[in-house]
Amino acid sequence: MGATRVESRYTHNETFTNGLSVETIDDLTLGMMSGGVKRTWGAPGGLKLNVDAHVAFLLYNDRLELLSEQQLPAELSTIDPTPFNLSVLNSFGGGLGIGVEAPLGHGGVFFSAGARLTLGFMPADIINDPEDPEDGHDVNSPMHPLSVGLGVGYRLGG
Amino acid sequence: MLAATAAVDVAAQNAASTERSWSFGGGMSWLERNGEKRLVRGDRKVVTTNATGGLAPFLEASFKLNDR
Repeated sequence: MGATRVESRYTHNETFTNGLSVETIDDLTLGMMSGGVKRTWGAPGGLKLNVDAHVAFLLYNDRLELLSEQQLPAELSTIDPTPFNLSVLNSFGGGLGIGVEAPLGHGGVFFSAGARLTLGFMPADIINDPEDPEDGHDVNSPMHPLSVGLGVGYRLGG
Repeated sequence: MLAATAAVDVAAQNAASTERSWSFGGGMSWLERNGEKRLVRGDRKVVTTNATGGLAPFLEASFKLNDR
């Protein structure tokens, strides 16, 4: 089981039929808690290769302030554009990982490196969407986090 | 953090009597979200979204059931 958290940017771009476009960016935070099973190959005390299968709970920040009526250029007023702020919902994902572990000395400390791909989605509801006034999943954006990392660990016993 | 501390305590007890063991660790990874999407809303406009990647610290704990 593991936990990770990343802060990054979410870009939203709308291109209208009259050729005008608006791009807005907001912070997007993703927390991920995962659990799964890991299969390990390698001699005790030596380099070990492992693969894992996992399920993950994806936690997003609650809301993305992407496009409000106040931000819209005056040229767009003639086509009644939709404000595009999103209420983001948490979701589940699943995936696979691969890694190696190398012992550092004989005290149980080890170095680890690995990569992990999780397939998931970011469900979101467009706030005050005139095309779909019901709360729900107006946008179900793919979100397939791929992480490549280095770390250290400590093994007790075994 | 609380969970990790509890895991260490349990591991210390298990390690003395069985081959099963806990390990825990942490590190830093680069996380790419792969979250780009393009969609057409109604007949009026095209919307594209994209989420960038970033550095992500991680914590991990595992429990070894057997030698495999």
